[in-house]
Amino acid sequence: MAASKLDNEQLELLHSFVEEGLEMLDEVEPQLIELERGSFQIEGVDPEVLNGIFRLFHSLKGSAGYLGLETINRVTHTAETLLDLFRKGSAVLSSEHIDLLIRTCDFMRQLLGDVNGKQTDKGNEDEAKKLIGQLGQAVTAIQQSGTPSSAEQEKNSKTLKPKIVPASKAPSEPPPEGEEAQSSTLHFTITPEMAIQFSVESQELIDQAEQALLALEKEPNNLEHLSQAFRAMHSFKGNCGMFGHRDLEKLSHQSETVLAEIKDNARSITNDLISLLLEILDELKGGLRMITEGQAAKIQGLLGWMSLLQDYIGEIGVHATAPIANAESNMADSSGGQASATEEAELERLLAEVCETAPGASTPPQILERRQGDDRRSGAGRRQLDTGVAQRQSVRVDVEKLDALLDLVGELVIAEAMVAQNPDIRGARISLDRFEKSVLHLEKISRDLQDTITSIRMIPLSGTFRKMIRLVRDLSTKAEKKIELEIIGEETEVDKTVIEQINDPLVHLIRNSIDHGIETPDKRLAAGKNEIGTITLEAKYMGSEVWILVKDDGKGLNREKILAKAIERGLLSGEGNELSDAEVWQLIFLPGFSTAEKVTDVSGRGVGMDVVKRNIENLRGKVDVRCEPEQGCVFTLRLPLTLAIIDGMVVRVGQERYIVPIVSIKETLRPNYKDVTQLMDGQQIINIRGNLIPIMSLHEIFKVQSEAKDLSEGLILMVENEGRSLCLLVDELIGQQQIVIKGLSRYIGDLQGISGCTILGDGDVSLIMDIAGIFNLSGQNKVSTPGRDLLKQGGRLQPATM
Amino acid sequence: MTTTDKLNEDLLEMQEDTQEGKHLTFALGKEEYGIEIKNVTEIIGIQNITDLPDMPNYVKGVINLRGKVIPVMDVRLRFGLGERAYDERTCIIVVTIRNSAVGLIVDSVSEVVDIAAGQIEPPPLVRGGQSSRFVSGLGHVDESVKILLSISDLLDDSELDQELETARGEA
Repeated sequence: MAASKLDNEQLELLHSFVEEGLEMLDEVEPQLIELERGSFQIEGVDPEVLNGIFRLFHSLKGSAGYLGLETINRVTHTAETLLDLFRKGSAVLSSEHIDLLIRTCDFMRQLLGDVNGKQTDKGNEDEAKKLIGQLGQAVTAIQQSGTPSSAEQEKNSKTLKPKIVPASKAPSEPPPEGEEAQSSTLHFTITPEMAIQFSVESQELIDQAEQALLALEKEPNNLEHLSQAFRAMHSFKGNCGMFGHRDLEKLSHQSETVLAEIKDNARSITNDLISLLLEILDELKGGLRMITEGQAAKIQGLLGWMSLLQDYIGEIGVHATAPIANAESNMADSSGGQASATEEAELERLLAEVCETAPGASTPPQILERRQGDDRRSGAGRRQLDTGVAQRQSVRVDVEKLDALLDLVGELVIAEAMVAQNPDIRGARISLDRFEKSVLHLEKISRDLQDTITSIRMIPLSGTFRKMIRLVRDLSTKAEKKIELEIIGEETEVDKTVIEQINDPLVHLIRNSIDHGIETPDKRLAAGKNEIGTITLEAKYMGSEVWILVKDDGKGLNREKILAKAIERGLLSGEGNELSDAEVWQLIFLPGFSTAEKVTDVSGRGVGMDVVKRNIENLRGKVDVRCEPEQGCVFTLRLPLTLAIIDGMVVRVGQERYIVPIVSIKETLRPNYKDVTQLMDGQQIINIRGNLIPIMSLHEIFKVQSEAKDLSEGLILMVENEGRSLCLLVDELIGQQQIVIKGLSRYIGDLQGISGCTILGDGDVSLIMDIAGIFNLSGQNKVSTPGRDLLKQGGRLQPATM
Repeated sequence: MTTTDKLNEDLLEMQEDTQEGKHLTFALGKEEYGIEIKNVTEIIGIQNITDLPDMPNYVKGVINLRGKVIPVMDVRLRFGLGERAYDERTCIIVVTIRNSAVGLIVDSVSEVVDIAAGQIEPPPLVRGGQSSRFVSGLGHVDESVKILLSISDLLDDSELDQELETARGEA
């Protein structure tokens, strides 16, 4: 495709190619790394993984060739050749090879980026040449050595012991293709969500193609319709290719070719051809239905359809991919892209199938007749199934609209409170029964509405987490450390905004762990640890929060170093001896702080941790650091589960009203003097069913005037966080309601013990308490030092410490 | 509130290009102050203010401005002029700087005046007092002198951080 004549449609094709390509690369990269790890295992490399990677390069090559992106085409071709050798079992994969393939992936990314920006992949020829050279060398090395275990490869494979790929058939025969590969792909990378997405999208594309063809029937010369049909068919083909539905891919590819021929040669489409294409669409729909039902998609009489289409290409007459005479053998050329031994095997299978299913049906019209007969017979049943597929539909929506919807729901909840608690109504001395009922109903609806909008916005963290596999691999190699990444709870779903904002903090935390946390193998061995360090990335739900933990078993943070650095950077005045460990750890999040003795190219510029904190705060989350010297560090990113609305208890302290999240409240009670013990410094401790729990007065924490100076005048709210309990003294409980969280202004920044604010029904602003923050406050507050000790001991009083 | 209403109307009518040299003047005690109009969003009467813990005394808290929660600062306290009870003339001037809105509590707002660059003198540094660093210049308007303030200095974040440190350190 010459760069000179790029119309919109071609641009669109290019973009969808880039998008698909990047997606495929995202898929393949973790697999490659998996492969690297897998080669440690006794059973060797998984052939399915290899097939998957092979398919990526193959599909990319096909599309790139079609789009005239030569550099991509050449690079992928060489990579494919190399992979094919492994696939056939004529060589083993060494870490060297994997490295090469990963670099190829990187280069592909770069090329795709260029294609996206400049609509061409030109300008990277030198690099491409180098890479192709290296890939080619690897290929020749394998071909020459013949057998896998050459001395050179032993040398190349630094830490990995190469394992022979178990070839499921004799090495001379082509590796299993077709059904086996298809079904295996479905197993190992494609999640159920993706499969659903696939079938929904494909259904849409088929419908689009159908409509375009029908429109074309009325106006055979309308290029717009033709292009639309072509585009839909093209995308459908791409999807099928990616998911390994070979029959569907072939048939749609051939249809696409026919449409392209018509378009390129400015022919008008005949009604016969439209009918044929519509029939094919029905076949494709049938295939989709099989997929939805969990079967592998097969097209009966594929070969017949293919040759019918081929005839049309012949009729159109201009440069069909191959001469028409031998329709059967050129099928492989035009359908699968590159003819190979595997294609021939496939062809044989198809031929056999044609003979089997339709005896003597070597001429397409007969197949057609048969199919039509089938249709008539099972027509009713089919219709039903059709609607079955269509039922599960999805709509792609602009995220901005979702955001706007979320804001509106928030406003609705506030407005609802304004109505329900309206003083005009509350002041009226009339019966409010019916009003209350309506309010309850309204509340229920708005709650359902919130739940729905929240669930719409939820996305699993797996994508974000998987990206880190690559990061850890690259960085650990660079840092010459041995590190394993363990991922737990990747299925945990979080709001879309969280996904967008969480990537950078995770990257920085992991970099930090690799650079500063985990020691070099010899140091680890000297410290009596496993030579291989472990970084654990974990996500889980905790109350109303999602916690994302980045844990390493490295050397931990160094209090002295951090303090020294903070003083040197002018971030801290004084010696800092009075600071608690937790406070010292927080210093690393200050802008401009870095403890790396040497600035490496991965971290140490002192910007990373600052970003972590800022991004997390943008999400109204908090970062906790726990650290044991020589045992490692845990960074906990605590994010609110819903970014917008929580259930809260409104409490009054003097003139002020505060919100306590309902999830934190264990119980409320009116304190009884005989249960309360007062320590010498004034700290009060209440005995609740045998548990001794410290009491904190909110008016002391927030320094406001309170009416309940005395315990008996107030109410106690027992709150819980991470298994610790604390009693909060308040003046009054006003009631429970839905709270729309609003951020405090940046001007104010982070307030200890406050997570945000909300607007109450009467229009006043009320602060939302951060219970975990209150616990921290109680730990630091000098007045309640005994309380802190109590907290540490899980609320049990030990007289000895007094 | 008629002054306020009229001023708000003026603010709405004013376009970017006509804002040059325009200042909103307000009173603290017997002195008149001026801030550049381009930072001013609107003027509202005094509202219910929600107290924030651990803030310097001049950060009075937060208010609800049509669904948005914005912090408010008592300019008197910011300048160390001593507290004065809020009354019906007390106003909150909402200013927006770097995309975040802050309310400034002043004794009363006066008017919008043109003060051309030629009428502005640099502040004479005599006392070097704490609050004089907020003064960007002295503007002559007829016979009177308006103290022109720099909003960005008034809302300087780094300084707030420091004061927060001290406020929290003492706490």
